Amino acid sequence: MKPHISSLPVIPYRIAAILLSLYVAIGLLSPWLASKEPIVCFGNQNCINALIPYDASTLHTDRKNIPTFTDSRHILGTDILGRDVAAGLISGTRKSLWIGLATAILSGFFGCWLGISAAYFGDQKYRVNRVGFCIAILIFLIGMFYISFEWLIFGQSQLKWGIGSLALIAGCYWLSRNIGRKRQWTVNVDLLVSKMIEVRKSIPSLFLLLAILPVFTTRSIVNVIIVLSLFLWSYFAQYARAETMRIRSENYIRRAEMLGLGNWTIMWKHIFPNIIPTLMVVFCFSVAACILAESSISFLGIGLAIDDITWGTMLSEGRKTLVWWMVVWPGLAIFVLVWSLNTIASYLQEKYRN
Amino acid sequence: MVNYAIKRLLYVLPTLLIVMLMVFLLSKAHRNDPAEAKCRLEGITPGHVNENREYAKHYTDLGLNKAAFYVSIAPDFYHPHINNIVDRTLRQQMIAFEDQKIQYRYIEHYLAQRDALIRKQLADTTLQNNHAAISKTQFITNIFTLSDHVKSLPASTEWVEMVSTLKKGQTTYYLPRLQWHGTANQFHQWAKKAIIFEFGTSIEDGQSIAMKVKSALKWTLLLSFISLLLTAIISILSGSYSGFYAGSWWDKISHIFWMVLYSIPSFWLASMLIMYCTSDIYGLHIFASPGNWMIDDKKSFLGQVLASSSQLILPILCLVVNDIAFFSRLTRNNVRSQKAELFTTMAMARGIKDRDILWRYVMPNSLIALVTFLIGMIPACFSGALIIEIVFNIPGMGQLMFDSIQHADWQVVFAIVLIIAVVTIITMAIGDVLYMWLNPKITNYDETPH
Amino acid sequence: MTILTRLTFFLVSLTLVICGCKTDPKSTANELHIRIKKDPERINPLISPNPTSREIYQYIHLSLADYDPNTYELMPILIKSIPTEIAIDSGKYKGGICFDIEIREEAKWDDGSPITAEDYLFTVKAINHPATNTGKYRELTENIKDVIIDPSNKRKFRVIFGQDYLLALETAINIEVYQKSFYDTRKSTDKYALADIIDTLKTQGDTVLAAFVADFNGNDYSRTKIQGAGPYKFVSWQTDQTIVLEKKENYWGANIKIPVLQQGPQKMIFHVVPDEVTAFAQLQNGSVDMMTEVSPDKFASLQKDTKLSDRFSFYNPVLTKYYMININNGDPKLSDKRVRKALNHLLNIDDIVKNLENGQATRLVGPIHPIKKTYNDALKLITYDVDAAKALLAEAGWSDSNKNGIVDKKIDGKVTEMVLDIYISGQELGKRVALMMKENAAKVGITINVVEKDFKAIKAENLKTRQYHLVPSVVSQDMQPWDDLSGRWHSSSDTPSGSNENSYRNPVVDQLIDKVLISKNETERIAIYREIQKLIYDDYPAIFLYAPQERIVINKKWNATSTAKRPGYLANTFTSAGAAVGQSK
Repeated sequence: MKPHISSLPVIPYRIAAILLSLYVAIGLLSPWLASKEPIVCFGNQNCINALIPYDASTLHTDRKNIPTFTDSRHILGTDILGRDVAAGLISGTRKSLWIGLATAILSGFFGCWLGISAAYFGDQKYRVNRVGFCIAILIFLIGMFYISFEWLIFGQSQLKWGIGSLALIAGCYWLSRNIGRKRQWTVNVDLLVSKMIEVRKSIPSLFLLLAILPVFTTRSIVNVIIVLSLFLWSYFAQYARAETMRIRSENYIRRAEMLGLGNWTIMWKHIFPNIIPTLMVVFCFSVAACILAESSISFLGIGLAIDDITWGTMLSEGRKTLVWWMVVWPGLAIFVLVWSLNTIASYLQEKYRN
Repeated sequence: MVNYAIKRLLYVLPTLLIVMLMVFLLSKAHRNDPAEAKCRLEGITPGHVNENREYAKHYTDLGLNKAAFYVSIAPDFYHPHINNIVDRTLRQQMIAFEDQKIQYRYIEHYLAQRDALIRKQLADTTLQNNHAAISKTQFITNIFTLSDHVKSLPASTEWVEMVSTLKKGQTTYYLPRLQWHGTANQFHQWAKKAIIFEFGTSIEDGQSIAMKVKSALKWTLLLSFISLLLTAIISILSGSYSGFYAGSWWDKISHIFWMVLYSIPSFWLASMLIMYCTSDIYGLHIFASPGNWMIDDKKSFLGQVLASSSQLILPILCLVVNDIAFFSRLTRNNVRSQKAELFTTMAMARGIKDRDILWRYVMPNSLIALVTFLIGMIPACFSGALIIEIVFNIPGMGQLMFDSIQHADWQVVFAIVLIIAVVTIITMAIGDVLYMWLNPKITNYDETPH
Repeated sequence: MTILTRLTFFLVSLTLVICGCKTDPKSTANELHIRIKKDPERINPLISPNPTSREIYQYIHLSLADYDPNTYELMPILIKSIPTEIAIDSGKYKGGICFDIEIREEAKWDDGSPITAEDYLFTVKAINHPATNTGKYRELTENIKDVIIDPSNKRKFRVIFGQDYLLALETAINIEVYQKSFYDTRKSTDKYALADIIDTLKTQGDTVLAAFVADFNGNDYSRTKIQGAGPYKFVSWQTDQTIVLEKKENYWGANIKIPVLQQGPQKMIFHVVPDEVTAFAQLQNGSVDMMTEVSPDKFASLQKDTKLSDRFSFYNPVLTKYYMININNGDPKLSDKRVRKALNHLLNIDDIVKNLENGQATRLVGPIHPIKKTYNDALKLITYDVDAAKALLAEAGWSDSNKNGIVDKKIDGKVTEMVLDIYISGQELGKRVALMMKENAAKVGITINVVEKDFKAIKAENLKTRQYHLVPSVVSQDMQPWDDLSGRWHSSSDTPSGSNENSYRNPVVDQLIDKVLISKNETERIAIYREIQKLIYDDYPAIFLYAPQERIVINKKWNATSTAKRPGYLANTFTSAGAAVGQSK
């Protein structure tokens, strides 16, 4: 077949790419674009101020509810407490991008790992040593007990707990590989992962969000990232599994297997790079979906801390107070960003299809 | 084939059990206390003389004094039956001290002694000036603050001794304690009824949960099935043409259009529509204002739907906007790849008209994938769209779940989650079986080639 | 593009436009459409005495007497007159008090039977049974030791209290009376005396009584079988959607000149619309006639809009509630009076009233509502004064010794930074006030962290355990002239189960609060109340913000008035403006 030339117009993609880089630039530069603190100071008086010399949360008690384009100091207006809308949009950009990217990367990592393992190992290929496996499980359970109580409940350190449990998992994995190699069990990795995906999909995401977010004692962006990742990983897992299935039987994988390369080498060096195109599409769509989900959460008023100003919180406030500039601008900001991401994703999809 | 179908459906059960377990455990991690919610409903606010008595009544009535699950694992110095402590403050303080690694017997001892001593000292009028400090002791649950604090109290030797005994109860080393609670646990009580779909009554309004869910489900299903139907019709029509004539101006324009629609945040759209298009303020009173469901009991459900049809337009519009865009893209890509197949080229070569090729050759083949996808969307129909429901005041499943979680009405939440889980798992299984049946060459994990 | 697609698109857009353009259902002449914020869940004044439920059951169930919204005095409804207290100086209840009460002759239930003392006795028994969910009232009615029915007159009875206490009269007559033959079809309470029904040992094993309790708590009597002596009857209820009440035919109270007995609109239809924006849209297009608790922003925007404001009447009745910010007096950082005073100086409350409430609120100095006769108006309102706050902090020994921008002080040998947590729940107003407080506090070197939590979690984890610094809250009071201050301001309530959440302790205030309970003389009581306010004012135990006004918008179709009694209006007193015009012609 002759090489396929994309049948869709290119101009939207170019626009989308430019817009996206603009958003990223705003996100990166936001501390210098809108800030109370001057950027640099020469001596006492000569300071260079940020473009918008306030933080998103600075209250202007004397300048409340200014509509867009009526005040030169607040071009986009202010809200009922006198907070600048433009500064809010800029801080929202940073938070949205941060949540979108971090969630997609986190869930993408775990999702891909599970999906690729499921397809690669299938139902027969993965074998564990019986003795090692039993010992590892035992050690894992006891270890988890102590780690959880010592660090999570008595020590109150989630970071320590996270690192500790990852180390424990790694240790147990090593044990299960290296003890008692005589008798082995076959583990049906594919079934395991499929069931995990099924369980995740049968719990409504709304429930996950509403039930897990209040479990955290404080509200922060990190919590939102964790909760969103909890339901995003399954999409990555599904796509990674399907794609790996597709290329698994191709010659170069077979050859690598015959060469006796390790499973992980094959998975990360030979399979993963080849499914990246598809994953990139999923990734872009996921970032867009996360940004939408974040603004929905803020719109409902759960999740983020109150002084974290995001597009969703601005929108919900605008809706409550019936001022158009608080509804139109943040909504537009979400819409344009999501549109750029989706357009780029569909461009990639089109490009890699053939 | 039949074997596979049976096997696939049997796999549903363990998944369901895991879902039930996870949902239950999550509810236990949540901090809302149903007994307190019940007190609040009765009009009893904190500080009421009756508060402790009524709380204890509801606490035992709701079975919260039982263990949460069949087994429990805890450090051996923890109280073995913490839920048996009916008094909420005592229970919370016990947990707070336990979390500082103090053995529960020492805490029990200290709490009893403390309350007795405080009562004694508060009754003593000569200590009038110290009353504030004395009664402050009953709030302190941090062992270090406590030992600092008691030094300043009257009869401080007695206090210091008490606290130092408490400190002696602190351990560094401990073993896990595995406990078996038998079937008299909260999970068992709930699960045994939930299995036969008997959910009991709601704490919030005393209605039977089945009724509550039924009335919410009615609206949610109505909305989502209309949306699903609309989505399917519009997007299959538009998608198939763009796919068949891929690269044409229609394809290009519709692509841009769908991309825009796909990216509109539906809650934003909903807010804007309500703000600008349902009232006279901006002179755009095009649509009926949302959600004023005047429902006549005498009318049939269909009659009710027709009566409120004008109000259903906006929510449906907001619901379908994103889906149509997505689904028509899917249809387009599917049709396009079918068109590239050999049989289409053959048909073209035979000079069959384009329209016939599309509807007789290409579409039937694409439909398999599309229908499978549509089946996959059914579970989502049951869970409802929370924000759209809130914005348009539709008493659907999303709102019911939101409210129930906020009010610690866990029985309702469990029921909803369970129903959605059952629907999801079964549709997934059916989808798999259907897919197998339509595409016999597709293998499943039992028959993977080695 | 083929004809088929074009046709489909055309058809779809046509249906959209046709259905969409359908005009909104306009409410018909004599039906009043009221927006309520949430589903009342139960319509049963004894079991579920919440404000939303009250908005509906006040037309169905009547109490013996209630407060007159204008004079704040008790006014008889089902009874002939307000009884006076009689001291008992002999017999079994010596030292107690009693009231002689007589029910009106014309008062009747729906089936035509008269309201008698038996019904009252049954109501008290039902409340006092420990297993019924009437905990809120039981606290008070448990003081009723006996109800003696006059053998010659079935409508006359005597209520006996074991001892004298402040709220005895209110307890005796401010109860909604239930019809015995309707609620207790089994006559299960007959065989027990009032004193016995409290005792679980005496009622043990009585399955008939247990069945009665289950029914009483159950769903039927709260959702379908709803019947009382009020001017309206319950018709239907669609959960989370609508509740319909209808005017009773040949109502016994129609000719009695008491507001709660009047009959206005033929039907009252309550629409459950949780979201305010939606409700507002409905109000504007006429599918809802009135809404209460309108947010200040919307209220102002509607008033300003000349095109729309002609169609609506606006009401701002004063409600007996006020806002304050709790300060934890027991916290080492806040135990100094001067620090608390400094915090008081940091909020520009006048500005908040002006901007966030459109000026529709009254500031107050202490825990008594300004409309009450016990309010101490001699005290001066605290002003917004950052410099004074700075000076007070310095005086209390707080200074920025380590130059990090936050003031600090050595407490118990440790340098403590003035970092405070303010806990807020989802309420919009609390959020805004907290943000303002944060901004202003930064000016004097106090860092305030705003922590958002579920309201119940704040109650349980912070207020009850006294682990907080600041919590904005709302205090709702009854209309009774004598507020019970012992709950919030007496040091004996400073326990984990008590509601002195500020940990406020002042022995003099304790004594005065105790004194007011036994004082019989009205002027003396007022003097004590004023003194208490003065003492509390001097201690700055909290930041008293203001008493808000209710904001009600009613369509001009109705001739309406507002009242100070919650929910701020009495729909049965409304008359249709159109009908009135028609009659005058």
